[in-house]
Amino acid sequence: MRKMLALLLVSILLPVLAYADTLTVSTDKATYARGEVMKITAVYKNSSGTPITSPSTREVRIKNPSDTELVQTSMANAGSGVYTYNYTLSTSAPTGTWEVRGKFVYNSTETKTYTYPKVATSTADTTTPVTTASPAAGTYTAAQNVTLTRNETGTTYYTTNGTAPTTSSTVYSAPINIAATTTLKYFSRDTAGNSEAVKTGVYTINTVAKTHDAANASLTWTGYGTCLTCHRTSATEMYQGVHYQWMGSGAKMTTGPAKQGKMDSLDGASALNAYCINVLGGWKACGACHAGTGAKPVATTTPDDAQLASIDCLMCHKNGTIATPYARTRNATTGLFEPNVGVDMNNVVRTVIKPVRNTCLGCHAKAGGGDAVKRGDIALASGTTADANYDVHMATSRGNLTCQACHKFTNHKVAGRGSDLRPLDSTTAVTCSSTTCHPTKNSLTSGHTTTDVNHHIGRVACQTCHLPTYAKNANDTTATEATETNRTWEAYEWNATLLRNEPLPTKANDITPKYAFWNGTSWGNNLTDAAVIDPTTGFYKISRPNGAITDAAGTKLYPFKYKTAQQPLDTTTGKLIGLSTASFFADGNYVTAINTGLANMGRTGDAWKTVTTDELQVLNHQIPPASGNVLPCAACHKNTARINLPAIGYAIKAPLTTICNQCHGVETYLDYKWVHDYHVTGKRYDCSFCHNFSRATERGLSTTK
Amino acid sequence: MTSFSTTRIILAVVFLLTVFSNTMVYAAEPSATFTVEIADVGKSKEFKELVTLLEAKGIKTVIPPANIRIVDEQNNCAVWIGKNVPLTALQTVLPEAIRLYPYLKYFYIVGERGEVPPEAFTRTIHIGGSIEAALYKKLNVIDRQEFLKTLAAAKTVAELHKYLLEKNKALKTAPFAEGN
Repeated sequence: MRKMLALLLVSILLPVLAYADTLTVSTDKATYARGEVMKITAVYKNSSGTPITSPSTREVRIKNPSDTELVQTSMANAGSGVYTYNYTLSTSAPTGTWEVRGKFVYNSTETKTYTYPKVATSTADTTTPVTTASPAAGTYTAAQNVTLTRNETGTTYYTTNGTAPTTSSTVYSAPINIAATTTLKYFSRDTAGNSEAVKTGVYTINTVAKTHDAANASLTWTGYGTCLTCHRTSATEMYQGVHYQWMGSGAKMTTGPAKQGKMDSLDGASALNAYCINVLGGWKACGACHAGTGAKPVATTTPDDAQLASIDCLMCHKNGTIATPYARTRNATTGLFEPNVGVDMNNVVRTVIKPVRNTCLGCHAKAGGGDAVKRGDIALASGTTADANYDVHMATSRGNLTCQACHKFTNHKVAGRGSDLRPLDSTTAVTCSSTTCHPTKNSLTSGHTTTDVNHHIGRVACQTCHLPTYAKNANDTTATEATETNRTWEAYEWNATLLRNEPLPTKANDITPKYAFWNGTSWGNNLTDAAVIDPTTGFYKISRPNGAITDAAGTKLYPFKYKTAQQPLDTTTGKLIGLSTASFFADGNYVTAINTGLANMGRTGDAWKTVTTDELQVLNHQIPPASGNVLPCAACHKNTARINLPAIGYAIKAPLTTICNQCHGVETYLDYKWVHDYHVTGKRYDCSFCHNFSRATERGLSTTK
Repeated sequence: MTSFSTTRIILAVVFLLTVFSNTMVYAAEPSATFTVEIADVGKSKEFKELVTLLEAKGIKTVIPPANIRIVDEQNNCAVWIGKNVPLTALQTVLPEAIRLYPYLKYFYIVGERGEVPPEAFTRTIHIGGSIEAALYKKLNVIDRQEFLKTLAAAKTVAELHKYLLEKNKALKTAPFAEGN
């Protein structure tokens, strides 16, 4: 009987048991503090795990540890079989184990389940507070009131003397006034006793007036990095410029890589010239004119402080009029430059100025190894002379212009590039005629003395007519300002100051320029390039201005210094050899210097021979006053002594009979001027009728009869 | 000994003394065949004083032509000593030069590093050589007082040369690497 009843009970209950719903009830925390919110969640599913979303009863009951029922209510339906209820514990809620019961009914089936959260007097707080300073640490030009803000209840401690704060330190209660450079250290501790790590903020207060003034006693010399405090941007600009890198954009070169310049390298970027040939092996000798403190510049787009501090700003910005002007000499141990003993460097930095002529000329007039050696149209005299016939723009009695009056600087990049120089520092053009200077001299139809002269503007550079001779001798200097016209390394002369043998120069004054068309781009032979003979001169060309009479408008006839040199050529590779100047200086031994140079180039043992090289260097300076000095027409026309116009493209394109028969047969005429006045000025016929070039577009001439 | 013989002896001694004393005087004076070159570094007062002083002693003084490497006395702080300049000349000239140009700190016998100057330069004291050259040749700074003491005490020019050769032994960590 009993067995039958048990079986009956199992048979009744088994389906129920087999198909029982599941209910779980949980709280978000195991232990609560008084006053906290107890979040209760119930999950109700059927036996197959499907959420039960519409029970007929979804009740929660809460009892405190005293078994007192505090809550009996329905839970909120959160969907998907989830039900929620939040209960806020009172601030006097009894501690101990509480009972939370969920009772759900679905299809008349009731399911109950329990959970037992605890309530304690407090929960363990292990989170450290976070304190924030405002304004943040940094450099300011005025005193700052620093506020320390905590993210939770507690106490903030701080020091301003650089020591680590403790709970015995000053308690923060109000903004901290920081009027001088200060190291602020602080931390907070919450009510649970959690302390955050000490934080440090350095507030640099630089209230020094930014003007460079001799009376500004707060501005002091702290080494070559002094300028970075206020002029970091300028330093970064300068760092990337040609003056510092000795390399730059090769955008105006039709030969060589994208970056080229004076700095030595063996990748084709390093320029050659007919003076010292190449910097390879001679950095220390040449680097005395570098705008740095002696170390070779490092090419990087992100220079660090040490690299920026290698710029010697004072090379350009020194004031030569103060009692002890900035001068520098090599440190005997490091070889790097340092201020001369006895120079008041505080006064130097207080009195810096924008460069004056003498500053620029201190290096640029001595290019090639001596005063006036290289450029031909500038010398140390250009900085001091009053002789207007020497240079009307620079003479102290006339223009007295700074270099940057024409060579505009933008972000420490200078406008202007000599035709023989490889890198382009700035794309800003240097022009003789602008709104501020010679504004009327840029017209094809007006501005100059005659119509014919006006016509020349389009294709003849200003200095072609205005610079009859270069390498002039200023009348108020003891030096001659003679420029080097040739240099041979096969012979030498002794330099007692430098205790070395130097190649033998030939110098001259009052030289007539050579003339050539230049479109603004240049051809250059760099170290490791194959040498190229110019069939016109028969010499190996080092640099040439690109341009021809048939080039587009903008190409003009310019005056150039013509320079030659005798130097070695590697006959195996056909390349000019960067001979070792260091070796040559020691003993004047040409052969040894060549062999060392070959080794430096990785060409030990190659055969070589001495060749003549040449280069053209555009002339822009030493312009005398126009009156009495500008070239007359006869200097170039019907006179090949100065310039052979027919040879450079101005010859007529056919015999005269052929030319004239285009229209009317050969006729008698007064002179070339009459021919041009009649046909071009009068009839507006284009040059191409008679010559192998056209000016139709730029001068509005007709190419048809 | 007869009085005549005594007289002869006395005359002979006087004669010999006359001959040799002239020679000694001649030998004690600096050679007239050497030259002192003084770079004009802009210290006009000291420059003029040195020139005047040396010329008063009968020493030929030359001012080399200006060049871009003659800058100031701190950059032109080297003394180049020709190897054929007599010791007495050095002992006469250099103390005065050092007194008037206190930045002189390199003292070097020309040719020790392989340079080959013109023959005349071997008989030249050049005051105001460039520091660029000194560093290029890896010369060492020599204490002036020590140098002056050594110079004064030297009995032969070879002794002084040996001292300078030793003092100018190239440092392993010289700032200028050759050709760099």
